[in-house]
Amino acid sequence: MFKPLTLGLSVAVVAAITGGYLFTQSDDLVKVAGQGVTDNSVAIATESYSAEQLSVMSPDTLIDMQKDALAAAREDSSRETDLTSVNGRPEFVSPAEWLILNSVSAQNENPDTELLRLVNLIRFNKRLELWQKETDPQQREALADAVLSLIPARVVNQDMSKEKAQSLQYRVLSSVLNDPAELRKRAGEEAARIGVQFGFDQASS
Amino acid sequence: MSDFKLKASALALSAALMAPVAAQAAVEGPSGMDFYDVPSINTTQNGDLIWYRNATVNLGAGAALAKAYNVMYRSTDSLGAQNAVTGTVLLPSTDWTGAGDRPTLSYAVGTHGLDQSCAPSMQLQAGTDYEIRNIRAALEKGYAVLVTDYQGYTTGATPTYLAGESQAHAALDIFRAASQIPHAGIDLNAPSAVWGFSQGGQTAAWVGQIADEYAPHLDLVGVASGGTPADFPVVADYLNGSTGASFLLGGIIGLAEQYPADIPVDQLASANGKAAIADYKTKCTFEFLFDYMNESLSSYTVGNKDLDELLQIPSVGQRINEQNLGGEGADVPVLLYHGTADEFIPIEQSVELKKDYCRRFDKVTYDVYPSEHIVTLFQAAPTVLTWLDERFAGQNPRNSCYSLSANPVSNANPGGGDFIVTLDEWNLDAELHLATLDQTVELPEDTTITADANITDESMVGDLYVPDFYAKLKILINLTVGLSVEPVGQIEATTQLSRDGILAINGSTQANVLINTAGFSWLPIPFNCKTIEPATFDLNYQGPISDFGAGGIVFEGVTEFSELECGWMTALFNSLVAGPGQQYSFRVVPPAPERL
Repeated sequence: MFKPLTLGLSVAVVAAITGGYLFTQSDDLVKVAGQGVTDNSVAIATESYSAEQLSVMSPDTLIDMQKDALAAAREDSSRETDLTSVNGRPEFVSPAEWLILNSVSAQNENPDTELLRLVNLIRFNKRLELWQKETDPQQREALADAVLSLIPARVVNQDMSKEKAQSLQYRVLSSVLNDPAELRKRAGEEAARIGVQFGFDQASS
Repeated sequence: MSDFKLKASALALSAALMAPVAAQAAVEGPSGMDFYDVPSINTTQNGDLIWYRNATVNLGAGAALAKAYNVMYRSTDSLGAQNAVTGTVLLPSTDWTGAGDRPTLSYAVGTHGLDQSCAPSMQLQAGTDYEIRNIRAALEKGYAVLVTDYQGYTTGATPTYLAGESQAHAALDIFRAASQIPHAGIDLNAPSAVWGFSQGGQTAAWVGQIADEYAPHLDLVGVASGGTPADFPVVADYLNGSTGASFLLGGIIGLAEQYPADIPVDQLASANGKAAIADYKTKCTFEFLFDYMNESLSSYTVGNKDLDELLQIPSVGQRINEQNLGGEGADVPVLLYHGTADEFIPIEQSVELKKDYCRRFDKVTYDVYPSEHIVTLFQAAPTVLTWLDERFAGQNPRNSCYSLSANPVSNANPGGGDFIVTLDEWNLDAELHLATLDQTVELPEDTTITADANITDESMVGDLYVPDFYAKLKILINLTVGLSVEPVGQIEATTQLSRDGILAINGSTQANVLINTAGFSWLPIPFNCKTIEPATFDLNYQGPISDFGAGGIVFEGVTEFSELECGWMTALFNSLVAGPGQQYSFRVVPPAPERL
């Protein structure tokens, strides 16, 4: 049986999901962001939301938060390295995502390390999402570089295998380079960054 | 003859002279192959122990085995002549928890081959016996298990393969022999049963028909007979020129050994036939099965006489027909079972045996499996053992004679071609362990695999079917997530069956993972996430052929999910679900039988 608060939160969760989110209720384990700093001068959100507060927000408000986080990811896309610590909710992580990432990492035996990994991973995935959706050629090229810059760290963190990483590198490069020789050269350089000897046939398959 | 054997023979002889009607004192037999040299037999009763020895058997890790013995004992062949038979006695480490004394089960093996090295007692020692799984299962039940080699595995002898009465005598006489091993603790008066499949099914059914007369001292509570060759001319015709052709050639050799005057194989066999016979006698099951597959009997006979012509020779036809089961009733409850896809022994003649027994008001339980011969052998074990437990507990069996179910009909793959094991919508007990969420998702119960494993051309092609399903995932709270696993293309694998019965499967299949909805069970919200590239699931397995029927084939591995496309929540789902380290386990579950 749901407790009254839980029931209220659950209704809000469903409302949020109806708006296009996966936004769920919290429990006491979740730390809500607001203060704290991260390295690399990444922007830290100043707003602090508890799960209870989120649960009473309208779906439109939650969607706007998600859009804000994606916009922050775009702003952040010029930075070429992973964060090395997380002391609060980065702006590119929405409040709902922050709750979920904290909850999932709390189940890990090294929650802080896992949270850092997940924050870096969602940062990368947002860049990837932005690149996939971008139609402006210049913006797309910039986002392609942003994605490529973080791929080696994904391999190191075992977020993706070398094979997938090389395949993604080639896909990203193919979207912005038309000259086959240049494509081959860049693919070789990117492959070397993840410790793979470039093979054109393999990469193009 | 070794000193030991001379001594043993002298002891036996003197004991016989002193007390000609008493059971002989047990003699410990020699080590090594000398054990298989038959000494002078001076015992007085069928089943008397000629000698025994402690045995080391290899049933695999974790077998419920406390102690094992080899035995040689007196028996009689199909013509009533005295002979010496070897076998193995296995004592379980499992306590007997049922009522009364610990039961004793005579496990009658199927075709092993005519070479002495194929003897069950030797293959159990080597750990290569393909029926080990069933023997282990019986030991786990707490039964003492007796495994006769049948007649013909002593040094210099040739097995009388498929000589029904000889085999039944051997399977019955081993009860007395086991009871005479000093301190083994096997009571001749304990409840007993016989279980066998294929050749062993023939043996078990023969036991049911003759036990009252041949071994009235036994408290035999039932016989379980599967894959039973009951009508020999029908079975011979089915085997001739088919995938199981080697069993027909073996049967002719074995019956000629039992009835040399009536089946004069030296006169009937051509030069090619004589060469085949000589070669056949050097091979075990998974060697000759392939070497003689799809051969017609006429290729071995003088003047290329075919099967019908051979059966028309009166003495040959008579001896072949004497192996038929039925024609008289079973003295104890009988469990008959058979696979509809049995490509070696047709199911219809097994149903006719059931009808024959039913006409005699015997108690017959009949189970139908949707599988081929070798698969059914192992698939049936749990059901057979439950049936035996019920007999040992004194319960009345279900009598399929009063069943209104339609008689099963064969759906075996056509003979004369490749040896194909068909899995027709077999269940997969499958699960995925999601790496980042560290949670296991069980695929729905009606996930199935349909495949043809072509043992001849060493290939396997098939399809996975996974219905859409819901799983609970804990992401802050328990969300109900609607998932699909969408196969892409077919399962493609190689299959190899080694000559000692080891099956190897190596291949893969691909599938996309879809997150269709998430929310509560009463309000699923559509998300429509899908991996942009299918994940590859390697399907690699190596183990005994028995695993096919026994649910022992498990494909395990680790795969990688590509990123998903989900609309708004792509980045979050990719962070939680995509990536490497996704563990999977697919266990192939054989279908349950239908009890008539």
